[in-house]
Amino acid sequence: MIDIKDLTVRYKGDQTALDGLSLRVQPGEFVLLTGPSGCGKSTLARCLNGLIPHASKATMTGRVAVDGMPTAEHTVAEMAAHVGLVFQNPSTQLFGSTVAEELAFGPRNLGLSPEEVAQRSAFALEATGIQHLRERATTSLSAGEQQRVAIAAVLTMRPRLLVLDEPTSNLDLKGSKAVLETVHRLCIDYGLTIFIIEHRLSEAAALADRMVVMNEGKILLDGPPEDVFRERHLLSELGVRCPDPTLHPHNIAMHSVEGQMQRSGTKPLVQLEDVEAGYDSHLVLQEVDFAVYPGEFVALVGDNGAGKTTMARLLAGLLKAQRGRVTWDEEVQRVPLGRRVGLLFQNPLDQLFCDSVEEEISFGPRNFGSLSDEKLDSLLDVTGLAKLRHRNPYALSVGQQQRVALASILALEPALLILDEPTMGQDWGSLSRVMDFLTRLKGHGQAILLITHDHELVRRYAERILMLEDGKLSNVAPHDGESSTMDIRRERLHEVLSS
Amino acid sequence: MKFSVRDLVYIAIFGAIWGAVELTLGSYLHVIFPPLADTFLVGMIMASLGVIVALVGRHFVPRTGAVFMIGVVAAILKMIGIGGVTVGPMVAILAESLLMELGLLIARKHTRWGFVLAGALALAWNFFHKFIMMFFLFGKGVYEVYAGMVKQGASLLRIDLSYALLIIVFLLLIRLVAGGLAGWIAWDLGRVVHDRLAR
Amino acid sequence: MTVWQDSRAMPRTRRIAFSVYGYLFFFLGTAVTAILAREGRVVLVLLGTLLFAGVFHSQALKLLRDRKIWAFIVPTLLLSPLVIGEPDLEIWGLHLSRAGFWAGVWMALRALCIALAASVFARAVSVSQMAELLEGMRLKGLGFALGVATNMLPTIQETMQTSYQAIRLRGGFRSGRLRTLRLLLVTVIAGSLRRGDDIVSAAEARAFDPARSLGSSISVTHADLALAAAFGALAVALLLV
Repeated sequence: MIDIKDLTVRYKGDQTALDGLSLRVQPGEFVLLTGPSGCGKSTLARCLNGLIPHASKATMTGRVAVDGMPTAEHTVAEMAAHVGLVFQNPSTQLFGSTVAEELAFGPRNLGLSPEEVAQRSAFALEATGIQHLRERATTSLSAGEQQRVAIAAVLTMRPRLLVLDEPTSNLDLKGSKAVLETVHRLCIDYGLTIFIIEHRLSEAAALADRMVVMNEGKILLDGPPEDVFRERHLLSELGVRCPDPTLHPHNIAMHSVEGQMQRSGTKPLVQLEDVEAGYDSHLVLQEVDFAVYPGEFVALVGDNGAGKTTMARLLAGLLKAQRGRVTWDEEVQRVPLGRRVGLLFQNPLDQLFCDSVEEEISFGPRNFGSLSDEKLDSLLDVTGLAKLRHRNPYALSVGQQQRVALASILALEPALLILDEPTMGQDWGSLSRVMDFLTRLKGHGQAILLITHDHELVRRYAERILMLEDGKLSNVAPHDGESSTMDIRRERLHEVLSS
Repeated sequence: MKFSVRDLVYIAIFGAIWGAVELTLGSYLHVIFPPLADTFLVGMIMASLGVIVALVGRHFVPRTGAVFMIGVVAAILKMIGIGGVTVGPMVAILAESLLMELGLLIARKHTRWGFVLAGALALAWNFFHKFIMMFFLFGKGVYEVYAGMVKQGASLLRIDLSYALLIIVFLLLIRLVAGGLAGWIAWDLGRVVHDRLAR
Repeated sequence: MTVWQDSRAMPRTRRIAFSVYGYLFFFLGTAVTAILAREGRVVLVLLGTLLFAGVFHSQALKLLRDRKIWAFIVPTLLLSPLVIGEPDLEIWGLHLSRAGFWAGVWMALRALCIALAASVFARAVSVSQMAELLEGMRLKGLGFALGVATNMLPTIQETMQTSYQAIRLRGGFRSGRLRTLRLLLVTVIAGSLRRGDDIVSAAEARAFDPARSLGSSISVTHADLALAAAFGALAVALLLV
């Protein structure tokens, strides 16, 4: 299905993204591609449907053929009938205002008759199991549903190869599972070849027949996931995360209870009592009772829409409680808002305002009149940004941008640091570096609240775990219900890894 | 008007930004300001912001018709966002974007002064908008009502009618200046955004 | 079986009697006849508009509960007897004109007719239908741009909110508010444009080409033609009688 020989891709400035890469994939295979950020995974995906070289400034040498068609000799539109490409962010790949319109978009572009368009739409809806969403507005769907619509929309082009570029990176566990199960079904029931790029491997590896690991534009490992995961040392060096065989939702629940018991008797930094909060008449948080203690690393987990971000905004003082009390430590209560709580949002680009790293970090302290050169230098050092201090934040990698955003918040020395989904676009290597740095911060009495749906990250770093379900806090991990194919295969993978 | 895929995507993004500004900030301002200020002040603030967004968009899609397309997208988004009832804001956005196009056409070259002219023309509509909409809805009789109001107001405050007219002219001038300033700012902002993305 | 013939699509069939052109004829027809109707005849136009709205799009009648429309109508009604025509009546010391009162009533009814017709049009026609209508007016690619914008709108609103809160928490509004606003605007625009490349790739990967016209899927129905004919006849009658 895929035949790549000596593929080299260079972007402007002679930056090599792929370096003499060769790969063959058989029809019907489920291939998982992973590797550190910037290793060339997305470039490879764009080569498979001809976006490179036809619609990109990159130069390409070597040969790429998909379904027997050399991509260099066919337009992207011609390749669209053979390769479907699903991107990371659903909102950047939806073009219709309803699901039905979205599905009709591709076939109409191919100039097909209304009957054919309708037939293909019906097939895609059925294959992805989203018939019930057909009349819904695309903007009213959850992120997981939007991603499944994006897959269905690509299926209407009747491709034989489906390429997915980090399709679950913005999704919670439930959404990820639904998307991956859909993709797996397409492979098993419809014989589609699947080529999926992922950072979070636990779920995808359980379904894949084959796993490919890339670094610096080359393939380093290629084989069944069980075999690839045996190269733990190499994977760890690359910053590729191996699924943790001991990770299980029930372990998380126990962890939570232990943590809370240990904290009893200490004076809290902030305490929430019977709090209700939301937007206008829509109540998001209900009966919330909990406290954060100085110097502790707490994690707040839960599905998308459970109220995690509302909780962050409430603690940051950006939202007022409609009922109940939020009580801060007396000393902390006196300091202004931004110095009481630092809030790191998911997308670093939304919180970078200045033209250089140095300016960005000193922006907050300058506004609060607490700027000092020594502090700035020391912060640049500890965050590893000293060499980048004069660079434009926009020219940095996502991982570096996230560190700049973090440093600019830390410059205000907030008593509580809240990280709202910091995993976006980060490989495990850069993520764990940031987390290790934050763990060291705790020593200075700073409390950290990590909001995420990445259970593996939570288990590794958090001392205490709070779980939000439908706006209410619970100590019990959600039960997944019946075991899915993915669960069974993941168990099997874990058994192999444990042995 | 022929646009490439990239042009259309940029038009969509700037239209969505204009729409988002209207839906978030616009709704907020309409709530916090009293009805009279709503007509004169909020309309002017929102139109100025719209001019800035649309003209920054012109930096990225330097083609005739781009600003009008941005306006059409913003107008439709505004209509959906407020429940598809009010035609007034939609007409205002469309007219402003058309006048911006006219200003850019008159200026011919892609210059700062072209942006200033486009902005001033767009904000001028903001002054006439209520009168034109009222004429369309109520007919010319409504002018008698307004003229009567102005006369009675002038006699109540014991000021000469010509002063009342002067105030009206002054209100128009304020809009022209605000529009010109918005065009000036858009020229600078466009370059800053361009530079930021180019790095 | 095709996706469009599924039973869940059936509730739309009554509305399908009129296409987007039908609703456009209705809006334009109502506006023209309301303008042409002299004095009391506007009542007939209003009754017709209410009837049409009630039968084909009762949601549009929600307009009558909108305070904004009354904020314009009520002052016109109250001021007209004071400022239009010669005063021929005195109530509570106010010199009022009967002619002015009736002029105000006819103006208010005309405004209601037009606003109601606009409300029917806006509620009955979907975004994509409106885009198709405008594409027919040589705004090529508008449907695509509107689709992208509709799906990007929540993301952009989220970006605006996040950036505002981030800059506020970092003390941005404590000093130099205008500079902060400028920084905010640049961040929102640049952040949104950064997503542009992905959107372009996704569109091209699904064979989108703005140069190729997809053709309109909307066609004029018999009901549309009948409605247009009715309005035409009404307009002529109003002009002649």
